[in-house]
Amino acid sequence: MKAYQKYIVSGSFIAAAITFPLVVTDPYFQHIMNVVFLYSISIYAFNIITGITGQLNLAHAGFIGIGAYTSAIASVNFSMNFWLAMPLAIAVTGVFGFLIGFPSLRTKGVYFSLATLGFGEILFIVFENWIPVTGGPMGITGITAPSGIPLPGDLAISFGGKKGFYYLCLTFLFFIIYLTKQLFRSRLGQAMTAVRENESLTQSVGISIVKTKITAFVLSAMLLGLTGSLFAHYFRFISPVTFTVPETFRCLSMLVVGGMGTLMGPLLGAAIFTALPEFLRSIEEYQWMVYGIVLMLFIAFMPEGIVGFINEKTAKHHSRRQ
Amino acid sequence: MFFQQMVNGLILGGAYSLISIGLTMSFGIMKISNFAHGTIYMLGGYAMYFLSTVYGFPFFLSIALSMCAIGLLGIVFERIVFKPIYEGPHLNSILISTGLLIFLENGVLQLFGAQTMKVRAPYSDVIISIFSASITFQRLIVLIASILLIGGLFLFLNYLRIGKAIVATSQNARGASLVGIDITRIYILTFAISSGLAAAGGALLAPLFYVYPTMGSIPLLKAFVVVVLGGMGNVQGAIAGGFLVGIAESLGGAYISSDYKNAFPFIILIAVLLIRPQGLFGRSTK
Amino acid sequence: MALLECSQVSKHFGGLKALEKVSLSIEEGNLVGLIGPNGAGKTTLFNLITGFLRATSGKIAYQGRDITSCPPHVLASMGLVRTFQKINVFGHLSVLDNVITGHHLQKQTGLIGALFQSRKFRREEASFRRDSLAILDSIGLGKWENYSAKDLPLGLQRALGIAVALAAKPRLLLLDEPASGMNSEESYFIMELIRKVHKSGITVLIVEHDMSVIMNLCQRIVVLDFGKVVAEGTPEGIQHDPQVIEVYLGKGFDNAAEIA
Repeated sequence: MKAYQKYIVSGSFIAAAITFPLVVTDPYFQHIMNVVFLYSISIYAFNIITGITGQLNLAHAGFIGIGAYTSAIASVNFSMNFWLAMPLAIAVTGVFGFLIGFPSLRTKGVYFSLATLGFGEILFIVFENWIPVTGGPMGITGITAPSGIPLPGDLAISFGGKKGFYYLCLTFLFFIIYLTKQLFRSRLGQAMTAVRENESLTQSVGISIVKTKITAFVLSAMLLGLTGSLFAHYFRFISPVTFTVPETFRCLSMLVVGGMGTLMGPLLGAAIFTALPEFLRSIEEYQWMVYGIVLMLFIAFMPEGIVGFINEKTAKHHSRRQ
Repeated sequence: MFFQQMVNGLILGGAYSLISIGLTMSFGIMKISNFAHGTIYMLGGYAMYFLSTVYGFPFFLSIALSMCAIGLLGIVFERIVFKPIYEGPHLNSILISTGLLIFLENGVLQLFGAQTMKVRAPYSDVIISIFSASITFQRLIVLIASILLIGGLFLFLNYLRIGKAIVATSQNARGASLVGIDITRIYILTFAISSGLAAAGGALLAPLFYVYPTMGSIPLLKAFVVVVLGGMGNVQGAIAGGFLVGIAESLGGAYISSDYKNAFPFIILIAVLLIRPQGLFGRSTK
Repeated sequence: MALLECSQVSKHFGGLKALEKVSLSIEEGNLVGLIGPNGAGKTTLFNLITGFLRATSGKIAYQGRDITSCPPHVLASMGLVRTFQKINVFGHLSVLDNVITGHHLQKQTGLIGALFQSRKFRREEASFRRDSLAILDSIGLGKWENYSAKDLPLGLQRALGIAVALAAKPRLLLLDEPASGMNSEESYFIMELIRKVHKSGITVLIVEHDMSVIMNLCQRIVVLDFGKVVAEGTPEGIQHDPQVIEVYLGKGFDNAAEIA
């Protein structure tokens, strides 16, 4: 596709995304899009550590939980509004990312995945049992919605309703997609890809694989903290059951189907897994079985995901000398 | 109290060893990480439920049949799910076995419902006292059966020709095939044994703990703890590790905290991964 | 002062003595070959020098600095770069991206620069792209720039591996069996490439089994057997050295060139 054609396509998508809630006013559909966006943000985070850097982080849902609980506790117990609680959640989750990543990322591939699996399970057990702080199985209720931004002249941008939240999430999503795009072009992103492709070669050109992995992990953790915070302030109620290892597996399926290591894969994967079951209510009971089969089929036949597959088919193979 | 907990730990350990041996074998011989291993254990439990409780087969026969049935089912899984990913990166084995896990767990959920089912435990009334510890015969059977099965596996791997071929394959697959060992058969047999032992674990523990679709998730994680502790691919390590983890969990739960009892195996896992990732019995590669 | 100096380096794997008090020095500007039968310890020594293994005892010095326990990425920043015999490229990246990745040590702008697309970032991006194309062109890989590295034939993949190493601006380049698995045409191509690299001022150490490559290329050859240095010298000298002949063929031959 020529450059200007690409701009037209992405331009239309962006325009459609911006005008969606104005055209589709049914809050049910707005809610679905909000959930898609929430999942997308988390899958972009997953993409950074697992898709691009190739390290499978199975504490994914646990980290979202850290962000959610931090934001929730800040909001309910310390009366912080969203705009303070959210950065706090990002920071706290980032710190956890460093604390957990620093020791774990010195270990090889599958050992790292197992360590994160262990951490994910421990986090869930803590969420369930540390009742004074997390409320245990009952969770935390009464989390405030993001407060509006006052504008001059008695107006305000409100993020309380589904529509307001839609734009809030969309803004973050735009930023994260841009971040991912520029990550590919940056020194860090190229180092991350190198680590995934060939660790020995990566070292021999002067890249510290431990430093790269930890940076990717912390960056991913911070974005998961953001996801958790947004989640908490949207649903206004959180409980441990959202932050389990099966949830991580579900996100993993989304990443794989969409396309690991691609730019638009996470969004596509999140959209397919979230929106489709809503429209195919008849198979709702069997949706998890379908996830399982889909994941297996993709790994066996299309491990690069849908976007990855499309990228390969449209890759240019001629010389620059045209 | 201490001795009681030790005995409980041994019983738990025996089961953990059974489940973990299969996992370590599939890693050592086929070089895959099988995240669906816990669901295979779960299928063993359900097989036991149907055979012994619903259809009323004799207890020990049900155990044996569950083991064989799920062992054979394992062959189906190996051919359909794992064969496509042998050549690719290791990550793919984790991902595809996760897909199998999701499929099996939810398939069982759909077919049989989410409720926990009680499995007939014909020997739970018989109580045996050993010094200051008392256990039901039902629980003792778990330990005895584990030891018998582990012993059987040991004889198989060391004295039967096909068993030795499996060991050879784990050390050098290409070399093994060059001397005429059929790797496909080895993989199938290994996975059948792996599934059969896990199913035996599920069948033996079912009368003690009920069966429900997600009953395999915690045992899966604990099996990984044991496998890492014992050294991935190391069968003796898995046996020793299984008993160690069982005892640690039992004692930790009794003396430290029972709410966080389930966290202890994971704390061990993380400690091992950070201090000595090759496990207690693995060989260091540096 | 020699560029690279190994003093009494030993490596034991448990009871197995892979290397026993090996001493070796390489002067700047040399092209040195390291040979020996299978199991002699060449690969072990290679991995020790390049930081992938740690010596049990002994010292390795580079530019006068002790590098015995330096990890590979630190060595690369000092100009000590290696290639790999197997899986020596970033498979799913394009040929061009492979070489751009090799420039990592020279990249100065980080993620922040990329996010703001600062002028410095854009200038760097363009300049590394130019440099990488230049390296590829000088090797003859220019027209393959957009191909996936994994799709290249073996000979070109090896050349790409060398291109990636060159992007890291090495002072000392260590080549791990660059001609292994190649037919005579491909070996000749690699040999000429290595000669060109050496001429541009880079010191080279090659581990190789292919005697024609070694004898034609190297100024100096070191022979290992059973973890010890058994001979050192010019290609001519090595071919007639009775120790070397015995190592490869056993007693009773006059000239090692018979086996080359």
